[in-house]
Amino acid sequence: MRMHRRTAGWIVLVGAWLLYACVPVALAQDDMDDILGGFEDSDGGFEVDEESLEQGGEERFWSLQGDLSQDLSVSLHDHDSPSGTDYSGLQRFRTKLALQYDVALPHEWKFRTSGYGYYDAAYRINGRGDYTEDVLDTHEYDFELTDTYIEGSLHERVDLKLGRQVVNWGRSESIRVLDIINPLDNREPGLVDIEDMRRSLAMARLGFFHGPWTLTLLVIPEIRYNKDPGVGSDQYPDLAGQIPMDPTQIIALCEGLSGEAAGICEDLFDYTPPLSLDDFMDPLDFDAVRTHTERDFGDGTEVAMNLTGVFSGWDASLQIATFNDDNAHLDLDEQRFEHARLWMVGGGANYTIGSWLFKTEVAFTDGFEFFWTSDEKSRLDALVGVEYYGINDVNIVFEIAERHIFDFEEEMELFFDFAQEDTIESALRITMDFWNDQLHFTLLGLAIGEKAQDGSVVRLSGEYDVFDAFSVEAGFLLFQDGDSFFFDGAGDNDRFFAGAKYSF
Amino acid sequence: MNLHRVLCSCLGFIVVSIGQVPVADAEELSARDIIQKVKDRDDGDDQVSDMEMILIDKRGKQRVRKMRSFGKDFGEDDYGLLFFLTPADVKDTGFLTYDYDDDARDDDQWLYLPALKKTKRIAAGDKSGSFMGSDFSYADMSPRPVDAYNHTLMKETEVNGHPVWQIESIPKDKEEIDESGYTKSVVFVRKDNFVVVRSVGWLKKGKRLRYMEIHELEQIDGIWTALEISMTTKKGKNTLHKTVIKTSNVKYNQDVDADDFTIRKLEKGL
Repeated sequence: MRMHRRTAGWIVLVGAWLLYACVPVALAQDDMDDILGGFEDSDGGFEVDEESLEQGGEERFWSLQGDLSQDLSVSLHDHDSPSGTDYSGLQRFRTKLALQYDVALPHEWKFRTSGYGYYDAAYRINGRGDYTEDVLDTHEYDFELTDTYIEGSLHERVDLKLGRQVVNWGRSESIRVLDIINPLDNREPGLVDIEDMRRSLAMARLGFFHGPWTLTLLVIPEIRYNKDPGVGSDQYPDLAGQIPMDPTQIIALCEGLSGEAAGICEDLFDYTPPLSLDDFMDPLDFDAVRTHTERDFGDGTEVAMNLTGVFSGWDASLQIATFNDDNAHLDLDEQRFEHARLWMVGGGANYTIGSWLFKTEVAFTDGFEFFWTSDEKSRLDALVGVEYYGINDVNIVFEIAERHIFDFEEEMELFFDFAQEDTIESALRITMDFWNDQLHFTLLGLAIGEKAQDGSVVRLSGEYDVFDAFSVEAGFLLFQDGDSFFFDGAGDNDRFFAGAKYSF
Repeated sequence: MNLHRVLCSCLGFIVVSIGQVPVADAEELSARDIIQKVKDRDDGDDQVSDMEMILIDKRGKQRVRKMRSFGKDFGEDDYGLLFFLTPADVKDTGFLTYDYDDDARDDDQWLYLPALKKTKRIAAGDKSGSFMGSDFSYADMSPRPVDAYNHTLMKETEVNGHPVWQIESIPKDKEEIDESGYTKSVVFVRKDNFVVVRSVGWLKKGKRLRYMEIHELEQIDGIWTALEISMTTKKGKNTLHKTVIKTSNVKYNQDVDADDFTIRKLEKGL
């Protein structure tokens, strides 16, 4: 009896062990079989629709592509521009067509021409008479010939690209330190199409290639500057509001200055007692003050050089350039706005490790001219940035830059110059993709000042690919007032924007 | 999961090759040996091909991307260059990659963005992300180190009438899981040509699975080439998304110029 019970006990123990050890194995095998059976499951609804696929056509030596877009923007705040125009409600209702024509030439040379045209119906909808002439001239419609060039190889290690083109030497996404070649379209900050943000310039671009090294030489005879908001736009800073009009204020201003600046102030306001404002130009009447533009192929021709080395995990570059300041300064003697001649030496680098990319740009620029001093000034710009790719379908970029003007004079903070000895700029960009790249969200924040005290702007947008080559977008552009002249009153400029684009 | 050989034949970076590899007896080869042979197959010195990538969502909506790809061996390293031809909003976008055989060395990648007219270097550390919104990840497009995994021969079976080895591969450490995005994979390797004709991978996030299958396999210039391959993302029995890649105009050993795998070529385009 005792042996029988002991044997039975062992049988129960062994049986329990077998059950414990083998059942999970059996279950796991069932799971694996189930999973491997997934190859046989019906893919109903996931079959390729062969009829809808474009059939391969004959390859042509030319191609025409472009996009047609319709977009709008609406002010979030009822407000007027400094000129008194009502900027509430609809601000943009723009139809735009961009085209690009490419031709393959013999010996692997290529020709390209491109351009765009748009018409903004918002001005007619709101009443054209409500806007200044400068606003209508600047914003209502535009046609632009953009990239138009011929390119090819002169030698196995030498390339030539001749014509209107964009050259972007910067590594930064949002802050310009080395990206100084092409002027910008600043007419509607935050709402300019990214492909049109840099204005094409006619130039000769020669590239020499040897191993990891590339030497690029640019000769740029075409003179073009930034496109700025029209005078009277709510994006145009209230310059007139900065200039004292009251004789008491003018006297206080001029007598508060010393040295050269005091003399300039007296000349500006024709300040000889008894004070008369009749000799002073109306600050709103900028028809009386022209911008001097150097002629093409003349003394304003710009020259630049870039030497880049690309290596495993890192790259570095050196740039030297002599070019025209895209921002103008008021020259009292000449009674016009001038673009100073600058020269720059700078460099940049990228370094990658794992999912991180680190970048830096440094530029020393000399030749800046200001209204309140006859001395030319030099400036050092330095940027560091980091990009993170470690989260699936997410990209994060943070950049910060400091700009320092040497031998700064306090009077340079006054109107016309609005300069600061040190300026901190920072930018954060986060992009996220969803639904297998059908939906994209982008957050872009730009701040001036260590604590954004000089102003900031945030752009939040979402873009959805409805079908191939057709997308819709919507978002918000939010401005924050700041101490900087350019952000004074900017808080009213908040916008909602939306649009649709079809590419062909 | 090492889909490199199969996928790259479609993506044009590396080519599946049969060479003169004899059919091996299972008793002679371990699971690791088989995977090593998959990786070591002669794939030709270079390759040019056209590809059509069809993305299908669960509503049946199709998006199509057409690409032209170039691949070349540089010693043990693989260089690849890809240009998008359609749709119009991504046309002329280019992707250059230097895939290094040394596991300790990060790959180098650059993206040419036509809208910015600029080449951007990108960090390639995390390969688990999706390639251009498809069900293929960057890890699927580059060879995984053989010894980063424990390989187990599960059994011998058949796929579409061809004898195959069924091998389970499990990453040895968390670093490989994080980089590849897979916690485990099962591959089906044809015995006659060492082609991975099917695989399933367990994604580390979301309890999802990825099923890869070759639907059309053909010899071109003596090299086995997958002309149609699908990758399907599933959760349980539900298909979430599917990508089909069709390859055409495949040419091998064209003596593609080494200088074509540079930023210079990336910016010039086709």
